[in-house]
Amino acid sequence: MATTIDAKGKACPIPFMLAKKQIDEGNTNFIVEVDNSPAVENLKRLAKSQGYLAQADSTSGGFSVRFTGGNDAGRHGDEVPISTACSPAAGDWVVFLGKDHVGEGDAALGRNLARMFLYTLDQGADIPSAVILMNNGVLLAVEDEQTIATLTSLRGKGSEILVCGTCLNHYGLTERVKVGTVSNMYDITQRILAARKMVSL
Amino acid sequence: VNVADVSIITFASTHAAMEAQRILTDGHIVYTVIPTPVEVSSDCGIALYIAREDTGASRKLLAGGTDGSPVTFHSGYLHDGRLVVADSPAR
Repeated sequence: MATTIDAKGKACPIPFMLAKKQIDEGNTNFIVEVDNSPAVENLKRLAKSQGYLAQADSTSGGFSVRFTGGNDAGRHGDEVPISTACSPAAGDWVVFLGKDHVGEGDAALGRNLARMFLYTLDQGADIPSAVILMNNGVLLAVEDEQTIATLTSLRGKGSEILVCGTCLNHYGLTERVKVGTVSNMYDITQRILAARKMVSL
Repeated sequence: VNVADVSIITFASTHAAMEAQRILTDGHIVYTVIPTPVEVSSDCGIALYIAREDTGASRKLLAGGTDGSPVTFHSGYLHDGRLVVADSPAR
């Protein structure tokens, strides 16, 4: 019979640690009950990293995640460190740039800050799943050579560059976009809602 | 592995950094705007990097162009697109 662990009401990373304890003890059939969907996702990531199957179901009080299997032969992926157990999955986040600069004030400084932000993003290991450009943020994919190069590099690393088609049309820039996919509000809204984290500048 | 030598230019102020961008653009020098690398001591958070072969021309352009504050060149290189700062200032 499967062991059932009640982790409802427990903050991250407690459910993660309780499940990891079962795994470390060699338990190959157990259920963790939690009350929020991020905890479910974290447990799924743990299961995957440890070669377990994770079956999540809704319950009256939240969710139950059943861990089954678990052996070295089935193990794949890297172990999830506890330090990142409460973080969104890598790549499961988006950047929203609603203007061609960062902050308000000096426009030239703001453009430089936008260039430096994208540069730093591109140099890092945690690449967003999408970079969304709206309003005159689309200029970053049209007229600025450095940001075009950086966005191109980010795209090469797996980021989708979504450029607002309405905005391009409004500014008469549709034919001049240099990088990214011309997108629409339906797709952009869906991407934002599906992301576990959005960084807006 | 793709390696390219660069020079990193640091400034005393943001105003000097942005004036330098204007001067380099007018001089047809291609630069990339970056946050000042943590390995480099600078009063200004904006830095630029340029191709190493443009260092001499950039020095001449910036010698009398900015507000008189010091402009410092550092050696570095791009390793598969990732900027690495070398220790000694670029000559």
